Amino acid sequence: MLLIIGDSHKQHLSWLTQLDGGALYDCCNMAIACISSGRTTPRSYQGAAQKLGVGAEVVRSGIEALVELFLQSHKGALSDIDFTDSVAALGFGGDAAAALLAAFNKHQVELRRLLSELRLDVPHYADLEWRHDVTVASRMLRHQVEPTTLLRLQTAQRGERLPSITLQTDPVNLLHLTRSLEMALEEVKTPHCRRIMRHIK
Amino acid sequence: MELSSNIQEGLQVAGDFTFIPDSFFNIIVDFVCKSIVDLQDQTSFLEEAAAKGINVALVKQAYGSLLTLFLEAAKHDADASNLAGLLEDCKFPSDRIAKVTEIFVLHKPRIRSELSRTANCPPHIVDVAWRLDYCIKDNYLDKVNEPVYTIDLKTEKPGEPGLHNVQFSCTVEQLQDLVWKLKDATKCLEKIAQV
Repeated sequence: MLLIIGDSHKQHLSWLTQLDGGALYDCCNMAIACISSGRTTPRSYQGAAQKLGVGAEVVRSGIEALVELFLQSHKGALSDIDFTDSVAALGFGGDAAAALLAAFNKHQVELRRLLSELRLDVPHYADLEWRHDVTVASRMLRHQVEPTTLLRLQTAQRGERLPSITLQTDPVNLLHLTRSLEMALEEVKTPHCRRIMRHIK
Repeated sequence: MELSSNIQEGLQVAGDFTFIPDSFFNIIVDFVCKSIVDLQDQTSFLEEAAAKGINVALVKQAYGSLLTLFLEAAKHDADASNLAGLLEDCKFPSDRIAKVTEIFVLHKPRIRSELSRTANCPPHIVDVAWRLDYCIKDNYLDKVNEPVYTIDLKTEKPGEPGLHNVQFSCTVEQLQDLVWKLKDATKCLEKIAQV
């Protein structure tokens, strides 16, 4: 599967096709740094512009085009062959294509981590602690024997732990909760779910 | 079980037929039980007292003292004999003692049940709802292809009406971890129950 790239995007990438492997690799690192920090660095663009003999604005648009190229490639989960073919179609020769692929593969994990922070994330389960207690008395009632289970549910969102939630339940509801969630877990192994997961790829 | 001097005075008023006639005493005791069990302020009997020419202030005092007596006796899990002893000390006649202890013993489980719910505790889980989704793609990744569970724990808090939700999502592995921990807790509970 090849990347589909718009004309203005191709234009911004065009001057990069004339660079050698080393210079192109440096530009890739600048693009990754731009993705990681979320900011552009005009000073480094000016430095690169002087070194490469082009305008700072050209460098900036080229780096941003590389950013877009990497993000689209990661989004489409391109294989090495597909990535190489896509960049070859843009005019990147053997060494240049190899440099781009090397930079892309080196930073795949980082890209995945960054994009996962941007994705839609609801609070998800992180941990559960439990404790069994017997209530023997309270201010309002003495001579009690009430078994209770205290639960501390830890959730997280975008890599950060949220304040833990303290909950309580009794033996009957604990059993009901366990059984219901066990049934939920069984559901993913059913033929219906397996069929859907097999067909949507 | 100890009662303050004010309550003991009130009980003496309640037991005295010159202040509270026999016919009206039964009405007061019935209203005491209704107040606790139905959790509603029952004051219509005061109008009835006024209509019958009974001193409303004394009726209120008797009602308040009997209410306190029932709540304290239920709180301390008192039985009929404890209650009878206390009422004798407050100079209650034997027929009224019999009436009060009979009604108390009848309503004690219900009163204790209401008292146990009047406590400060964390949200109590009463039910769970779950949903299994298969995430195909999102705007950052063309292919996600992961099953995702959304779990909704329904909780009750004493003193607050209705149910509240605690919602979170989890992957299959996270749900396996959660279920494993809950099964561990239930096994431990079963062992304790067998001891």
